[in-house]
Amino acid sequence: MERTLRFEDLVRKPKNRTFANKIGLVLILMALPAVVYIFIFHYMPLEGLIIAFKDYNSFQGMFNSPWTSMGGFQHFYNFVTSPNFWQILRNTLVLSVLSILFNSLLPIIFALFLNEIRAKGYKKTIQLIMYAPYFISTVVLVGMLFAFFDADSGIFTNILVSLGFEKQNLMENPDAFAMIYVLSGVWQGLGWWSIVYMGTLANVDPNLHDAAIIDGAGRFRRIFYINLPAIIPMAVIMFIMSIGNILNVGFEKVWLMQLSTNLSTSEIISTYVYRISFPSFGLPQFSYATAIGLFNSVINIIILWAANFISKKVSNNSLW
Amino acid sequence: MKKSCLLVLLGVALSGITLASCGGSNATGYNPDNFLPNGTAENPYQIVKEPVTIEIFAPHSAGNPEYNTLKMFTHLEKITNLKFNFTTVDTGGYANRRASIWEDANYKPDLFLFNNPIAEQVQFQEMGFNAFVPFNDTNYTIKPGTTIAGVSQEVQVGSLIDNYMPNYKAGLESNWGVDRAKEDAEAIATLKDGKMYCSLSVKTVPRDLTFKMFINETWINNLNSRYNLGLKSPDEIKTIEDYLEILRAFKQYDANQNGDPNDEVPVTSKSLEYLRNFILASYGYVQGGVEIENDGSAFTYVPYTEAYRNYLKIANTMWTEGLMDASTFSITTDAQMATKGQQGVLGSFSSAAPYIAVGYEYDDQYKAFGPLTSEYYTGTPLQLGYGTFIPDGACIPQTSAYVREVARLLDIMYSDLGAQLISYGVENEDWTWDDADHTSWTFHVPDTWTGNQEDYRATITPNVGSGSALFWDNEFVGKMNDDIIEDLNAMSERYMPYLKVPEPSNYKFTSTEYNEISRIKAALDPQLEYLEASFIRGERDPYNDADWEAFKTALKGYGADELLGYYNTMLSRY
Repeated sequence: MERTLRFEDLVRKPKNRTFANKIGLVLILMALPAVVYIFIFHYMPLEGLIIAFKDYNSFQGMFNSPWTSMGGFQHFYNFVTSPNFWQILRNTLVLSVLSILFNSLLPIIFALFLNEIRAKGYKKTIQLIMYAPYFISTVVLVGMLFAFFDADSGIFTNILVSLGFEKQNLMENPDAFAMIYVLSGVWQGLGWWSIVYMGTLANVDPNLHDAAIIDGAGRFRRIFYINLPAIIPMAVIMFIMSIGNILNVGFEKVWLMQLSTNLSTSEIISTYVYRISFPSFGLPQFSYATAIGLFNSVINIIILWAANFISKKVSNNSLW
Repeated sequence: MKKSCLLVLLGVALSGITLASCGGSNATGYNPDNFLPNGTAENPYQIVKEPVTIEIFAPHSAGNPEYNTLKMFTHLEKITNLKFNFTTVDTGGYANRRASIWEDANYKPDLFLFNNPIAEQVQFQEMGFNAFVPFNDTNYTIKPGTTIAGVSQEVQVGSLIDNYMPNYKAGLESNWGVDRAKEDAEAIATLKDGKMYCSLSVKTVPRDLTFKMFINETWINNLNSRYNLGLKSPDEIKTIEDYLEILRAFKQYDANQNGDPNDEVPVTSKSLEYLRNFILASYGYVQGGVEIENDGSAFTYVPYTEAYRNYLKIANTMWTEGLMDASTFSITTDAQMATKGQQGVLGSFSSAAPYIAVGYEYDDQYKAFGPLTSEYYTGTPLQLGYGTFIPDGACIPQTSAYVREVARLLDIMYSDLGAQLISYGVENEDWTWDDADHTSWTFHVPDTWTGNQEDYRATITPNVGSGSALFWDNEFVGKMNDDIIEDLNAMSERYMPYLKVPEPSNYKFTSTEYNEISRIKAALDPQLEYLEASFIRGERDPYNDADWEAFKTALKGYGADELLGYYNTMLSRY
């Protein structure tokens, strides 16, 4: 007897699914190493935050050291009333905001233009040249900056002098510190940071471009109306994640660039924490340094939440 | 099968790691009868009958091979019959790791060797932690837990210094030959409860007791012979005004006679390091922070003083007249300074030795000079002194059962033999006396060695790089037969009568004071550095009263008064 194939036969019935399939065991196993890693290295150390509220000494340990005064908030009070609090907060924010702006916008523009290059060899050469500086270590990068801006023999100093500027080592100039920090960062990371946008642009449906061409759209219109909207969700997520680290300006580069002459703009929260942690006098102030770190993190979380909230309301893009 | 083998190997490796991390000798099984208080007839240095392992925690410089391969320690193992197991931390991160070492319940060293912070000793003493063995406690006993044949008992130790450390005791009694009125070893080693929780680092070698300032004698001679300027020789330079006159001549003329009168750099410095101290000393203070007055009556915050303002004025003059290297504030390493030095363009600088800054080609052109006075300060010349005695040498944790063994080991390090081992190694192997009277000795670097002398010395002693030593003895080190070192020693001697330690180590803060000072300095010192640089570079005017008052007000805002208060409160307790 001929059997008629019915639609219901093609549908996989729930009762045939195994328990492993139901809970997505394979996916869980794949995610497990990352979860374990995050738990061990990011959640377990959180117990150490308790020393921010204590006068920690390693002989008594984290849990037996005495609580500090002011209900455990003495170190936080010391930090926010410290004479350089506003200065280092301002310096940190200046470096951070400028870095976020430049590092968010320029890679998008670079990716959009690079995506338009048709000559493959030329495109790959440009990419290689732009990626390469990312692999230079920070120590070497700062060494190069000092050589380029040397008062006697620096190539940039000589260029600036030939353009009529005063002969000076710009690395020593507090007014130039943020500019050198940000622009050298852009030079180093522009190519690398654009990778994520290049990946997004590669996934844009070519039919959209074909349809736009038929409709008479030029190259700039297609960039503006097709490519740019395609990468905006990614850009918003990257931007929000950057905002979440607004007070976490990297220590290493600033510390290496820091000179006595530019301290008014180069002393930031992380360099101050370093001075507290490795003092030239007395013992490392672990509790005070931890309190500053915790203060940073709380501010970062608040700003992250605010940025995410605003983004959700304005553009419908958000992290959660 | 493969899986089982891998599991077994993994298990063995994990057990090894676990066992290795459980150091120390506080476990039961200590045999007091294994200890030899006076060595043996054949070997007075022998400490134990049967070998035992001593766990040592120490800082480690990147230039040193592993400590268990250093000749000093292998030789000590041979003569004492002890075995050493080292846990080392790079000198850069040592202070941090050292401060948190007690958190590690599995690691109980028998000895903390070198760089033991005085602030920690004070804190632990104040809080009654009984962390370290007092070297001079006549009632000290090794804690219960020590067993003999399974029976727990105490071992009477008494004063380690009196009973087991004759060399160290003799040093304390003689104050290592240093005038006790200037530096008192016993007072420096003792905390307010009368106990010594740490042995001293003792340095009597002049070249390591202060910095040295050099000037190019050849340039002075060149200018005198060619232009008849009548410039003073390095030995004749007595005031900062004399020095300024010579720097101006270096700037004006072709002092190095290479045909280019504009390539001379009259004076350079690594971020003002020591140049500040040198100039400031000519106005009556030796450092730009808190400093005790010459009569010991009070501490002064030097940046508040007219002396400091005079220093800023003269440094500003040097900068504006182009006498000070334009790169002064961006030079942060010896290597950067050497880049110019090796071009033969440096007139004056501070360095551990001239060859470090200018290479061997120009080394003999430079002579040490100073200390100076000035029209403002005409008293006894002053020079920054680092201090002969620092209470950071060696600490023995009370968790160790090998207290007596470690004390005897430390005592050897304070003997003539110990001073030789820490500096240049084993007699007749690494160095030999040149004559029967022992007036000099020669260091032997093997012909096959491809590095420099210091690289080779790093295979012998932990002193290279870190500069750590329990006893750095001029009686031995000062007799080295080496032209450059002999010159350096002779040049360093000129500063010895004038040394001033600005923060004498015999005064101890309380634990709270240490913490508060540390917190204030973290904000104040960078601000002072910045303002100092801005005065010197002319962004502020040291001659302008309003700028000067604003400077002092800014420092007050950063806690300078509070800082000074802690120092003088501490002083009032003595």
